[in-house]
Amino acid sequence: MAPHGCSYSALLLIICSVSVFIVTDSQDTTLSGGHHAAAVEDNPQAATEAAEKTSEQPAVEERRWEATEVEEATLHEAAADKQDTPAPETEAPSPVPQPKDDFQEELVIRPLHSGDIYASFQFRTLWETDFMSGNKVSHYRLFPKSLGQVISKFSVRELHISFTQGYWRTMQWGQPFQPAPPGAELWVWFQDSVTDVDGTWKELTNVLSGIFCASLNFIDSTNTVQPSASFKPLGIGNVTDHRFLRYATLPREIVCTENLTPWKKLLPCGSKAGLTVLLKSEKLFHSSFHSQAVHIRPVCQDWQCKTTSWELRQTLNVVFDLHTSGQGKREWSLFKMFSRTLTEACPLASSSKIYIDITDDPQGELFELSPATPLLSQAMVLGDRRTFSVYDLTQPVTFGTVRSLNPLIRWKSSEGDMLRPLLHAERYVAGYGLQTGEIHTLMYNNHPYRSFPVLLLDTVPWYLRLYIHTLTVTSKGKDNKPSYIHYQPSKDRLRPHLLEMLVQLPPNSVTEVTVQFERALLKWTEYTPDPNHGFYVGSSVISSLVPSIVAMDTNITMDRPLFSSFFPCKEESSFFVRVYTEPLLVNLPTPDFSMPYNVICLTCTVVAVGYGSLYNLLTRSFQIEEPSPGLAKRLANIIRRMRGVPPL
Amino acid sequence: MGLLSDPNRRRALISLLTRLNAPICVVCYMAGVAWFMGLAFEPFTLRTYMSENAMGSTMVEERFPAGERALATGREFAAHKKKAGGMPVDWLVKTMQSHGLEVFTQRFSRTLPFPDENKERYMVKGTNVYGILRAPRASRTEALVLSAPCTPGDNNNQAVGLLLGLAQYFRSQVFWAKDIIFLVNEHDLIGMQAWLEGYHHTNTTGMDWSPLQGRGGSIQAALSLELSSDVITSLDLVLEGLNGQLPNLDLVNLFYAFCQKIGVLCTTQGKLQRNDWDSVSGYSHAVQTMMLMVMKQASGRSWGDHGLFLRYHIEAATIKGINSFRQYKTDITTIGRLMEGMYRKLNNLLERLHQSYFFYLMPSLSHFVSIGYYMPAFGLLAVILLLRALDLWVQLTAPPPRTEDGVVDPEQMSSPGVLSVLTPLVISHLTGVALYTLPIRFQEMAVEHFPVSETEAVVLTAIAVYTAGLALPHNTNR
Repeated sequence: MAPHGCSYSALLLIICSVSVFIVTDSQDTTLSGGHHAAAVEDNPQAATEAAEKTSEQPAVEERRWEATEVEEATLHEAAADKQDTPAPETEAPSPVPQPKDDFQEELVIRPLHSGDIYASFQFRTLWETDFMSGNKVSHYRLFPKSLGQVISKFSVRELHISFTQGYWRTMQWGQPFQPAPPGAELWVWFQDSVTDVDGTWKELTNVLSGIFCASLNFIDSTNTVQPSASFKPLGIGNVTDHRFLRYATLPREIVCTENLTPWKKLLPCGSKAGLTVLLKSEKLFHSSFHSQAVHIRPVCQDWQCKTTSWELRQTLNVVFDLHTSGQGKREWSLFKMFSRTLTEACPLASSSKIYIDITDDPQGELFELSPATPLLSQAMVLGDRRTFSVYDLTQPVTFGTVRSLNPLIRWKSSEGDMLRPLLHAERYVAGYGLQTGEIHTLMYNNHPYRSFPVLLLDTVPWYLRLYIHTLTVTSKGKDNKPSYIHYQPSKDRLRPHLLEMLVQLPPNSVTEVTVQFERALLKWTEYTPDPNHGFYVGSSVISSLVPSIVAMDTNITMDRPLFSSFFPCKEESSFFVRVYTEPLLVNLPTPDFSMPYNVICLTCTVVAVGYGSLYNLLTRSFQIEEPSPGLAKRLANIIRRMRGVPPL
Repeated sequence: MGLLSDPNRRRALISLLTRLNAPICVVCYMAGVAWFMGLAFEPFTLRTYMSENAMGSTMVEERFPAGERALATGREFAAHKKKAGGMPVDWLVKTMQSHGLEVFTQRFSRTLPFPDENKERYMVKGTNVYGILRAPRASRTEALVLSAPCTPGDNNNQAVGLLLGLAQYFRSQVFWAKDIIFLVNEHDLIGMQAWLEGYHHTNTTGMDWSPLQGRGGSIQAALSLELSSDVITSLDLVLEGLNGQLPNLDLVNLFYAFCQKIGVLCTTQGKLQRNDWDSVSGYSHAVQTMMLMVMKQASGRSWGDHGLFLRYHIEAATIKGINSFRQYKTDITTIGRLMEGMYRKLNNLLERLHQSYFFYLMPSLSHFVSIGYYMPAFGLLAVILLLRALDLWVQLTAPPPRTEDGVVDPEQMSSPGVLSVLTPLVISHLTGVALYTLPIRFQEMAVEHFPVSETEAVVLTAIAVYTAGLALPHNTNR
């Protein structure tokens, strides 16, 4: 990591003047909660290369200011950042014995170019314990017991669950810190000791359904897949056999307060103190986008990685809308967003911070931040070097004389253009009528000169019968042959289609993936109560290592030392991005489940009966038949014949 | 069926049918026409009612305040339109963006099939501009469309103004559950068709269009707005779409319900509803309204921009503002409130509109004739064909009349074979094929050799084919 000069020499002075200790603290903290890859390299498929480093954000720590850099080698974890984002213990010299568990909370606020504002909460609980060894874990302190029991009972190695209401608008808002598809998404890696994975998965979804008050019990074999390359473990571990992976989405899931409350209950401070007091549902659900997630994974305890800890990361992302927020003034404060201000940190938290992204406004021209904070932090977020103002809630100074913190961002002008996101995607259904259709997936590579590979994962329910021979991938009008295709055909009423492809996106291009399908006619009990609403097809997932924005400017305009910039350095060259497309709503041929429908059925029956008799009449030939004589007459005739007399 | 199984009664019935064939046919015909005309009589028809629960019980409060501003926007639009000499694309994009919409444009071009007076093929080129209001916390699966055509001259500026005003007002509201697409289309139906084809990525008309960049999922309903004056006296609802397709009746009910609530005069086929149904003039008024609807459907063309949506299973209607010189005037704020109310109700929809009728006739906006009521009239007319056929069939199978000398004419005994039917069958199919292909095929040839224009050539070829068809019965050896 080359130390590079920064243009904020004035700020440097200020920073040096404050406590060195604090700066280090802010510096080492990850901003984005990078779910770092366990860089498991043992997958034989060359095709899955791109997905292997499944680091969501390679949160490369910046050692910028030499003066503050070598403060202390943080005790137990800083070195673990080879694999994982460290949560440095800044209270290292403290005399108390290090607790076995640790809790951190942080909030990142990023003003968006559209005038909206993005707030991202992260709560991280770390616990040095082993759920998997024989002895039962029964003493819980910060780690929620309900989840701990889930981990040990179902032998979960990694669990990622997200509930999202709304669609992340990549073109307006840029990349999110934690991408999530609309609805619910759940993916779990099981330990390799699990024998009946499907049975365990079924039980697990039902249990989670109860824990999070969500309809996860609707996850069954018809919407569960085992992606071969797209979802790699984010924690440590060396098993990448996708037999132990299960992935499912429920695009129709509605997220509301009943999901928020159980999520909040998992936090050590509940909603009583710290950043969580801001999480009031009346404001949180008055937003353009809302996404909450729980990630559980094993991480290294120290740099030697002899023992593992369990990490529970709870994230909540919310975007507030400028236009619906009442007055047209472009101004945001904590109070305006959450109708609360902060008065204290969570007493159980070892670190509690608010970061405000001021990258777009280095000189304070575009907007004004008050109260001003002397702390600054820089980090690589999503391939871009970002600067943040930091408020440390563990310091009483932060709250000032009024004993409450309410950072306010006021815009002076609405200038500025957003850099187009390098990768984004959209999807739609083409065609008309209720018999066939075509799914179009468009993937945009906005990088001016570099191509990069992406992994596309499509899960399509069985009732859309994909004509896989019509699959075409075109970019710039030419056929683009995917270097890896994994396709698992569907089975009616049993499992969905799974299509995974590794596609190379040429620079500055749109790649279009199309596949035709036929709409199946369901049995009448298989329709939902609202069949005319349509049926959902979950988002496709696009995972990629995207060349970073920093590496994009070869002609470095920033005043970096020349020797630092000849070879593009590896850490900055690319970053992991996962993009979700919008879900699709597809209408299937639907019988009219109504009174007229019944009338039509009845009429058809009547017509059928009527037609039957009419046909009978038309085809039958009529003959006049003599009525048969009675018994007495027949007897009389026999006698008469014997007598030789003509019969009656 | 015992009636027909009994040979005696059967014979009696058949003889009755053959004997009284002509009078029965006449009676059926009269009954059919009378039944159909009776449908316009108000006591015989049903009142419209809202079938869709999602739109029925929830009342909404309309608060659209900015009618004056919408008119000012409309004037500004008119000025820019005049300056640009067509669609003021840049201005529209900028305005929509400033209202907080995601704005996209679509270019399209289509060479018209017939040349104009200067013998030049006219290439229609244009641009559609649309802005998408993204619903908060919705996942881009459903959308509603509000469109206004950008027509040359001074027409329809107010509609675009109101569309932009509504866009701005809607953007500041939080209750949207579906994306709303605000579309300004150029060249009326051509632009609309280009946009729809682009949205659904189909190409049925051979048009060139640039692909759309932004979408909002499956479109649930659409309204097209046409307003050409600052105040209006009434709103006219146009329903007839391509090939006589109609939107779901609930869309009509919705419009009518809001007109009643807000107090706007509303018409269909340009005819106000009258209360004097029992008078002759009132009845003939209803008949006229209904027959106009029948004629418009029979014409097969789309009577507004909405008509093209119906192919894509999107319920759509056109709302036209009419300014006749009556006393009763409605200002644009009221129309805005009406539109707001309709969109809020459509926004509440959980499913596509499907509860109500798709086949109906309307003698007035508040009454409708469902398919179950008007089909018997057609049935009565159709049964005549059946009776005539029956008559012919019976005559064929009946024993031929004996000649005076009691000898059966052997020629009459032999029933005509299947092959004799084949000739007219083949010829009529060939006529159909000729009608379908020849007019366009001979278009250029006719222009070269005869002093006719291309339009006339098509019509003349069609007439020629029909004239040739007149000679047919003589050719089929009957």
